[in-house]
Amino acid sequence: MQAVAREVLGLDLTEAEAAALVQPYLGLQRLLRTLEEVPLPFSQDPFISPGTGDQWLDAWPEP
Amino acid sequence: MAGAVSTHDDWLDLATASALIARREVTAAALVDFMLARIERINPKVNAYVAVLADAAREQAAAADEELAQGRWRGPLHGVTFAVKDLIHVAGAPTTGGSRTLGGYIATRDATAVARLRAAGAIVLGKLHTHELAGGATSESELYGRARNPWNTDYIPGGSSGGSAVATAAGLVHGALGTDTGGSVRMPAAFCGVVGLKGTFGRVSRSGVLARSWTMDHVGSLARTVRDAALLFQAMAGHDSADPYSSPRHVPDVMGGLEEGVRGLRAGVVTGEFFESGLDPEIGTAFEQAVGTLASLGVATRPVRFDLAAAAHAAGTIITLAEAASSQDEAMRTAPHEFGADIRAQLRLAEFITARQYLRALRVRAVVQKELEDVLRDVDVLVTPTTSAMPTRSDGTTSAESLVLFARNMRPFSMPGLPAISVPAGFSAGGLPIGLQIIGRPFDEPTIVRTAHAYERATPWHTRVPPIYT
Repeated sequence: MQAVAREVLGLDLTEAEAAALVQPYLGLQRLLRTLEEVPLPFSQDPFISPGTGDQWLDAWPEP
Repeated sequence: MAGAVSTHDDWLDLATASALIARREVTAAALVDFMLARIERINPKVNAYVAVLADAAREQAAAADEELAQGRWRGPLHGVTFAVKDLIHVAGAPTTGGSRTLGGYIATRDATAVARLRAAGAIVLGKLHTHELAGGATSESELYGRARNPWNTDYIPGGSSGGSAVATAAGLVHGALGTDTGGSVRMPAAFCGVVGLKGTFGRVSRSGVLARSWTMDHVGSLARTVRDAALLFQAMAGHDSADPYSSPRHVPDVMGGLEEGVRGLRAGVVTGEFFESGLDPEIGTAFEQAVGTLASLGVATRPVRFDLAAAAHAAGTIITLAEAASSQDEAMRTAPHEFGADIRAQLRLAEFITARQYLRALRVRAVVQKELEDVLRDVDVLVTPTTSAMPTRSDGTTSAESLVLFARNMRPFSMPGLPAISVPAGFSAGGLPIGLQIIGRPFDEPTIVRTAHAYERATPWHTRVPPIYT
């Protein structure tokens, strides 16, 4: 794991630190790949202002 | 005092206790003494409380009784007890967040949620175990030790609001406050066989609550029944200018329609590989039975797809990690050794998330919200199992795969800010509880509460108590 941490993360870690970080790091990369696969409106039409969803609840009609 | 409260048979749910207090058949002082005695006897076995505020609770109880004697009744929380996850301020008590990084910190004020419950007449019994900085699901803490599942103390209670669920299930309080970023109220509620309710994002103020992920943190309530959890929610909800994300919307009456039933309601049963792969078979069976129960009550159930659930889960995780690292930035730079090993690794991991990736996760949230908007156009509520896996043994070996299965049904819905509730829905062959999650449209807490209440009335699960209870 120390070698993997050095190669993948560029960090010199103890074996315990490397064990705690490398597998979660690989999991993180999988999550990031999932995000990259989602088409974003702005990517398809750059004349749409990107949104981050923080007005969505405010705009929801009263039940 | 009229009416003794002395044995476990005398344990009362919040609403029942409230009614007895209002009729002056039981005093708040007697209820508090009863709870304190239970805490003294049972808490060492489950480690739910990390601080018991006995003297202050007795003072509040005496004041509550005095008010009643003078004819002043504050409402259904007058004289009942609650306790607070140790991430939330109670004036004069430590707020540690379960972390050595906050060692010695004493809160100088109540969190808004706590202040509102006190104003409604409720009495604070103490502070409850949390996974460090709300950053995990096992409630195994280097500072506090392990909180124990009251149904089997060899097992985890879930987290991060583990102490809140344990105290409620073990009958050590009438109701508790927790926080929920990606499932931290609902998961421990499911694992401990109690109700966990979080409203729409912004409904309950986070002022006085340690931040984990400020765009997704919620304060929620845990209790033995849906009615009790809703009573706590109702008293806490409403705008607070001290929380910049607090919603200014009018809070509906969640109690008024509780008995109206659910005939004609439309429930979407969320399907798809994301929700079904790796699902524990016993949870799957309990969930099918729960859907059947809802149908028998007149709910029109039908399968619905949520195709972006995996993306929602991923985005929620990335946002949480990045914001948690930002929240803890200074402590991580100056005293990283003060964090527990798992939280330190988590915060270190977050340093690999770039600004571009964090912003992409926020933008994915907007796309997810659009899909959920479409899904919720045709149904009133969504239902899933609360968790996809049963609790694991509390021995520090819970795997990363188990942690994903614990949270994956909840984060995709709380990330966009939807209200949700977990209600007891059965038991495994090994005697551990299973939860049903009911998710609603934004700001429509009354419908999820009404649905959960109808389900609860139709099933026996909430009437069972764990072996440790007596």
